[in-house]
Amino acid sequence: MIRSILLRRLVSGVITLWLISVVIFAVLHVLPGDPRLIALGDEYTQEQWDAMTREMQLDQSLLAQYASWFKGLVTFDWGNSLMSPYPISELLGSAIYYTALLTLFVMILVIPISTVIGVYSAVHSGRLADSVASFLTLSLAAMPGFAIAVLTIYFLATNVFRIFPGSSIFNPNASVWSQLDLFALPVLASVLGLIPYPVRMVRAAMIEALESDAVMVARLKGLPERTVIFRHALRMCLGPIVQAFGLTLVFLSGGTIIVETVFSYPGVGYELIQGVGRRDFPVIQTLVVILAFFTIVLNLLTDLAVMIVTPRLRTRM
Amino acid sequence: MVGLAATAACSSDSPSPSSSAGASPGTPRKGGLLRVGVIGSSGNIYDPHFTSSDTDQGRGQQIADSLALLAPDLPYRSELALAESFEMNANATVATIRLRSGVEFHHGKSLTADDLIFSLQRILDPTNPGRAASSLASIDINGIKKLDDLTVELTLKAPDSLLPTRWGSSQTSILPTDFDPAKPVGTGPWVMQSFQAGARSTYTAFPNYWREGQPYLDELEIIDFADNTPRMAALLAGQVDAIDGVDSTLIPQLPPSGFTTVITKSGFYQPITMRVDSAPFSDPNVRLAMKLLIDREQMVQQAYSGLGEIANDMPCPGDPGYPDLPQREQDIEQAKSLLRNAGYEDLTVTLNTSAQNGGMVNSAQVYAEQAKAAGVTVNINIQDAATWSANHKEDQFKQNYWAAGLVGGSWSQRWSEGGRSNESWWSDAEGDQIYNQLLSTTDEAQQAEYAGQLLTKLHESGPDIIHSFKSNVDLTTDKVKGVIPMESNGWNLGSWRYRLMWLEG
Repeated sequence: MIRSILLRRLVSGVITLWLISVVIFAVLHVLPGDPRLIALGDEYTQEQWDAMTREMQLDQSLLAQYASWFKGLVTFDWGNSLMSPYPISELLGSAIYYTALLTLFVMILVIPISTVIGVYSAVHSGRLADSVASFLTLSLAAMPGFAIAVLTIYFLATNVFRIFPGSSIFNPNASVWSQLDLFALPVLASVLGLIPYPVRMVRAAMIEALESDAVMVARLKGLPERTVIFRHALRMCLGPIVQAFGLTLVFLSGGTIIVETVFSYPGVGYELIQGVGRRDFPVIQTLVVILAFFTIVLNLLTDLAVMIVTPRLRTRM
Repeated sequence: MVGLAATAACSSDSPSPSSSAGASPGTPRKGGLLRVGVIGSSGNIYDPHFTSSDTDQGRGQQIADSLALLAPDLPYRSELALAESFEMNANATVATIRLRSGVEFHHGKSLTADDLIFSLQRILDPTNPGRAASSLASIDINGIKKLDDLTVELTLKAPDSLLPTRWGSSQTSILPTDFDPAKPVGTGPWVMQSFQAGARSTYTAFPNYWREGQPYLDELEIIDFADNTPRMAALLAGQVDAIDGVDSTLIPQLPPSGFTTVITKSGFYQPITMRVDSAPFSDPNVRLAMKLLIDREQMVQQAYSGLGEIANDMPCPGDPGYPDLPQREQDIEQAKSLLRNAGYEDLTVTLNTSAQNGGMVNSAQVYAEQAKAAGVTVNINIQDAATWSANHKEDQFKQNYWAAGLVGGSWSQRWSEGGRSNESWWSDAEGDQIYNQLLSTTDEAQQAEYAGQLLTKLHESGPDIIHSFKSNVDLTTDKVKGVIPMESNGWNLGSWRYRLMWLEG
């Protein structure tokens, strides 16, 4: 049963990815902004224009351009950026590495923090602690990501306290691990922006579990409250919790653009913004497809994990 | 024969106590590392002949030198660098260039005429022209002659008396005949150690640099930022020592001490340009009315936080021929009557702009506000940079931004028929003729007179509303000294002359 669902999802995922590649290619080519103009500036000769056209292969038909890009994409031969002599794989490889590290650090913090706050709020539902937690998470949820990021810079890097570096400018000639302080603010800003959703999800699932018959039975049996909460209630809401973190991860993988821009953090969001600004078609197209790929895979893995931790769903298969 | 005099090795762009705001008095101190934050992008390249963005130009200039360099102060003039002399014949058709002797490239080779010839051929290569190909277009690639080991004669396809002024940028760098783009070397003050696109580049001082005693610092790092916010944060948090071309609205964020603001008055301008090939701006009276709408003093205060000078609808204030015409003032009544007589009462136009140069959107908004007084409705259309540049030439009413220069240096691109940047679709046969005369004479008084005539034309009926000259703002920590204000072109942080900077304490 799981196998057939998996197969169906894989096939639909591949089709979705292909459609995305077509759409992003088409959208970019109708968007105003000619990369040749951006590369050459205001003053150029006809020879420069022609040389640039050949170099960027813009003299070929759209279909030929798509075909050659798509072929490269699936064979992992991503070609060169239009604007620089560097292979896209090199540009993106480093960006993906940095974004993956950021994601890792953020999730290591988000999962325990939001579980603790969510469970605590649910157990103390309606009391002061719950109201305070609700107020804080709702306030954070209402704040745009860039505002959170700028505020962390203001308070922790520049104007109030000078604890952390204000910009994540990594020295590429030194090891990332010797520059861990550069992660502080992007991780903090991402965590603050992300926790409201899983906190609300954990709290809701936990409240539901605490009100369930199973928990009532456990309490009637006279089990200690601690055991009731952690052994019984928490286990019952593992499904929704895993789903919440899966979705958080999806938000994060697509939503690092703001945080990376505000902190000059050299990840995929940064590369994407740079690529769009320069109309660097192959870079944007490839990045968008990679981001879509991760989103689809993460969604799939999340659903799988939910099935595995939810006995009800597991048996139904 | 008319020529440019050779300047001494210690040329006038050295810092001196008499320089204006921002230049730091004192004796340069040797040693140390300077970290400069720039707005970069991962598209950056370091081959000096192919740099296009300001950031890349600044980078290219560190490793390579050109024949001449723009002097920092006004009037606009160039100072010889790798050329010891640059002479033009009287009708500006033959140039004789003698190179400085004893100049060394980073890899030990000496500079010779062959390197100059190689560089010119590389820039003018028809199959893969360098970025300077358009400004050096007058040089006939088949008419380059080596006279001796250090002397080269150029025959021009058309007279070009401004040729000696066209060598300021890294795009015209003299590179060695064995230049390898993968390991770029030049005669520049800095030897490149590492380069990572979109991240940073590092340099060490070139010990055999031909300008005696420079650079003062041991090391230089140019660090790329995606955006102004993280760059400002990095300066405030001590991650970089200097940032260039800052939006003046960020100045109030500076703490009261520890930082220095270098404000450079220059001829940098953000014109509002009207297309003259169609109504309503084909009518010179309408163009004049649009110029009369502006309260220029208020424009400088509101759009540029007071950091600028009012202008008189003419660019190039450093041009030796800049005419002394009465300052145009706001005159709503006259503007209204001009518009009424032309049949454009209650005119509505859309002004296309982009936030890519600080102050552009602000000045568009101030203009729209001021235009209301005469019943003119200006709708502002803010576009992202790429869309803006794609539509720019077609748009009817728009803003752009330009560095200062000589009017003769920009006429062919901006105001002559078929010019690449002729965004107003301006055409003036008489103007083009004056321009050709300017290029055909090496007599400086004559040149100035022709330039004055061109500027007067632009003042009287030109397509550009040039309301103010925007000052450039650089920020450094107090430790950074030797940042020279570049009045002549308004480029940032002393036009990237990091060789003149030093760290105090």
